[in-house]
Amino acid sequence: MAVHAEHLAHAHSESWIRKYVFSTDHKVIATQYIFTAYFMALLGGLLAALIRYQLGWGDQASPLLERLFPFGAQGGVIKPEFYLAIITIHGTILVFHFQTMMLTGGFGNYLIPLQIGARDMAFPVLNMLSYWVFLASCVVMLLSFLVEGGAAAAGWTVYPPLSVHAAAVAGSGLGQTIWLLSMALLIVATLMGGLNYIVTTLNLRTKGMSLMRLPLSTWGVFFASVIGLVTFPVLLAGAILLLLDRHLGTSFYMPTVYIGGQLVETRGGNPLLWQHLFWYLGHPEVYILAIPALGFIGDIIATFSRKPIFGYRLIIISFVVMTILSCIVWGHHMFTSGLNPYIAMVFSLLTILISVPFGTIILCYAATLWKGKIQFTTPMLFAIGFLSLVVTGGLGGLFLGTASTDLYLHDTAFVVGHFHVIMASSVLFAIFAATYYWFPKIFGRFMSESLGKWHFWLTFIGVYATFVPMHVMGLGGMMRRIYSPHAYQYLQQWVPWERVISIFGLILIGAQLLFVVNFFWSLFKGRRATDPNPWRANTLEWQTSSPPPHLNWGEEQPVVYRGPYEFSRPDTAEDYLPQNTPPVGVEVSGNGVR
Amino acid sequence: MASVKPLSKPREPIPPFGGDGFSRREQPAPAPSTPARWGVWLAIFAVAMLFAGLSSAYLVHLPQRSRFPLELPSILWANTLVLILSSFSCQWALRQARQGRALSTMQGLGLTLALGVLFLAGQVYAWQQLRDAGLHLQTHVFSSFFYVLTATHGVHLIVGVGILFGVWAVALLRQGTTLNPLAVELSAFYWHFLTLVWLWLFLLLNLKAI
Amino acid sequence: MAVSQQQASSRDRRTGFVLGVALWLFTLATLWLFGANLHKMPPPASDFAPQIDAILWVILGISVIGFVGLHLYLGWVALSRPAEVRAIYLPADRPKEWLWVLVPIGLLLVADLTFDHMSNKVWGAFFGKPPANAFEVEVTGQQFAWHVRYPGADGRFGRTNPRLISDENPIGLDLSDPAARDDILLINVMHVPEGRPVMIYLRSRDVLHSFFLPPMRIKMDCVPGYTTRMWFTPQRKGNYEIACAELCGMGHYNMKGLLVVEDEQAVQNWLAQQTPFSKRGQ
Repeated sequence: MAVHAEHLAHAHSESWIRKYVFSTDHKVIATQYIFTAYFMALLGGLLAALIRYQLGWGDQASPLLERLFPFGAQGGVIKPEFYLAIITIHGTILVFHFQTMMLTGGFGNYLIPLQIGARDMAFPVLNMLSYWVFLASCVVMLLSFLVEGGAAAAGWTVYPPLSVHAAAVAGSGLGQTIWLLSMALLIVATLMGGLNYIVTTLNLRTKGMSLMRLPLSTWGVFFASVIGLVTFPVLLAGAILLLLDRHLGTSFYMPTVYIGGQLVETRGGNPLLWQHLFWYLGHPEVYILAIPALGFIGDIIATFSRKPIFGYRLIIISFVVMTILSCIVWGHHMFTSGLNPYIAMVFSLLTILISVPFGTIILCYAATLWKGKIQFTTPMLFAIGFLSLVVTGGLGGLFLGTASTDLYLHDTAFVVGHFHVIMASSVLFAIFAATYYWFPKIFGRFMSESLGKWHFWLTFIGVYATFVPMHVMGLGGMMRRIYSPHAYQYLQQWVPWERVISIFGLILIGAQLLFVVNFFWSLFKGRRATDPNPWRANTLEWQTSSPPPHLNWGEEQPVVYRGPYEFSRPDTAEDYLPQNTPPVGVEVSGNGVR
Repeated sequence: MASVKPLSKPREPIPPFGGDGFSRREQPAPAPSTPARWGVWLAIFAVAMLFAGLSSAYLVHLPQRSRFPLELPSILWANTLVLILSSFSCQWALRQARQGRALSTMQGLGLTLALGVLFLAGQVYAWQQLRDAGLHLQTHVFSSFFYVLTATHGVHLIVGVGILFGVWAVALLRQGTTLNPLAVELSAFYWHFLTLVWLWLFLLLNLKAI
Repeated sequence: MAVSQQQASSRDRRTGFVLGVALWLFTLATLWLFGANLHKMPPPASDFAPQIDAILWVILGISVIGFVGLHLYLGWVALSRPAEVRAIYLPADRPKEWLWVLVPIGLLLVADLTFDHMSNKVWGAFFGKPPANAFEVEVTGQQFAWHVRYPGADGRFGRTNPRLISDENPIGLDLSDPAARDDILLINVMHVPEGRPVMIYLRSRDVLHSFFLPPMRIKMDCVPGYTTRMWFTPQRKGNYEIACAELCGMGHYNMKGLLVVEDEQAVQNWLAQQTPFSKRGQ
């Protein structure tokens, strides 16, 4: 599919608004996603700071808090209902509006067409719509802090009946409705995006780009999109039913209960139904994040070890197995919910078995490092930090996936520590690695290496010092989602721990300022990336200029001759061999910009 | 660019350039296929998962069905028949489109549209009958399910009517000269899908117990 | 690139050294953090507790091997001198070479199946039929308290009905049922005998709660509209806290009760002093 020069010229003459705001160019849309998702990450981080403040020093009044949140923190002490709203929105926006959208909408969007040698997504207008719906979802979610009763406060899992009646908790007023609407918008945005990524990957690959030559990043986003397409609509179904329960008096999730001093009589509802529908998405969501993260890290590790990835096909097979397993293990979140114990045993076994494909990928990456010529750039540091974190987090998962130990550890700080290592931190590391790695491609400038390394060290220490002690507290029986650890006698010994964790947590959050500074400074003042392929990588996105031109390639799309990881071949002069370098003796009419 | 001496000898001959290290065969360009077709199939798949979610919610409630009386209006049988007929007329229109007969395609699509609207009217009538029988959205969980399932299907069918109408109207504007068979094919596929969904939902609603 | 290869490689070596040392220190610190603080776990006080702890130790052992193994390796990779000229060329996408990965993964799988088997035994006992002589108690969660009900002399719990719930009748006990007449209803306090299986029926009158007994190592959700159950045999006398482990509203953090494990005789004496719910206020 050659695009002629006049078309290229025509496309460039668009107005500023068409070019940068309502653009259908995947690179612009990806950049919009990246900025929006990072903005949501900052908000989520600020909410995390409030959580840590409350758990560390919640018994001390602070005049500053009262000034900042006159309604949520009267007298300088965060109110319990405000605390619950904070944890709910913290979880929701960081999981969905930050991580999911950053990985698929941001980097996935940017990389897929470039890595497969396409000019744009299969459906550029749909791609643009996906972003604007996502932005609407963000705005709607943040508005919920302003409504009466405050934002949703039933936890990010919004279990009914707590999430159905405003009398049950203040946030279950208008705030919960807004939460559901925002999630519905987000689901629609994700589906529009995911559909686009799948079709683009399958249909728009350039000549020679067979499936077994796709870089792992593209594979990762592809599998995440498949999981999203299978599971997100089910959450939408659940959300519709929950909205009806809240506003039209149906009782899908509501048994007859007595809430807030009055009887709520219903006919035949089942609160466990929501848990099934929610976790049918909620668990695969972890893999919607983990698989693209693993994909990005694969690209980065291969490049900076100067070695072909170990067991490329084995990794793809593991991705497939993870994709399938991820959709049939949701019940492990419900071991103590009254779930049929026989079904629970099946869920437990399947959950533990996920460690097999997961471990396979980690070991393949570890083997890739072996006898490599490792370059410890900032992205590589984050990639190795990622490996460390997924192993720590993954092993924690064994404790929780095993049904009978989950009887003890379910809903304790162990769970919080576990998913903050495996989901929050490791995926965050992958996002940072990807940002440092692809920043020169996206913006044509490098991020500062020395600031980047400081950012890495503080974040790495911060993450371990914040989340590993939570595992220990969980073994000590500390519950999650509690407003204050002071109420129980047996938890008194953990009060100083909470304070230490808070100190490290605040350091961790503060360290992200380095990243913000680095990001914006580099955007305008960073060293220019004159070389389009500064890391000397093989994948196609590095074979076009930085930033790539409109429609990505010049007159003709590149032609691919080999897999993405041909590093350090003994028979080539350089230690890398781009996918589109024509082999000796092949007549080439043109292979893209270089 | 100075040539660098390799440190270690590869264990076996490196596959010749042009291979990718995995298969020795030359890789052809991916088969040209239609992104539009894939896109519609995947969108339909997502909608199918939405109905799968609602259906599973219904199925877990099914064991207590006998406690909640819900007599389905008999007009639903007629509606079902109408929808099946519409699928046949849609398929007929598709065949005409593939043979390039724009005029009869438009007739087939027109008939499908009419039957689709008739089905929707029938569904509204069924709602009225149910309401007259005192079964409202809130009455019990199975009446709720009846309204939610039929409404969700109805909304998707209204979208389907809109799409078919669009195809039909474009053909009309072009005075029946040209007609894109792909557009007819994809909207027909969606239409058949909605018929299948309705048959599945109707089966579910008729189940008295597992 | 602006910097020469030589400079870059010496800087890489320095970064690698720091990273390697840091990874090993993290490993030691994590091991110390667990090792030095596991004794702070609530001392086991039921028959299930040592069994669940045993599974915890097995998984912990496997985790330590995996965790230490990978971090030793990563640290070694970071500390060792990078290849002088060029990395080795190892496409390694042949099943024979996959064995380097698949063998350790096979060991992991064996370990997985081992503790899954251990877990299933405990799980089966916990959800299986409790012994016939079990001491029965019913707990109903409300925002934010536990209503504890004993069946009284007849050994049978009376009917309840949510439509009868009021401030005076917090769980909606139906006094027209003869079995309800001698039911004893208490709030936030539960006495159970040591050494005899205790069967707890769990219910909720409003939202989800989770009845959590840390020293017994078990918890179970209270689901409105349903009755769930848990059983265990207390093995150690003492006063223990009952916690709520499922987010149930703004008072969730403070929804605690008292569990007293004592002699069978002491429990009976204590029960005899309680007034049945039907005779309250007379």
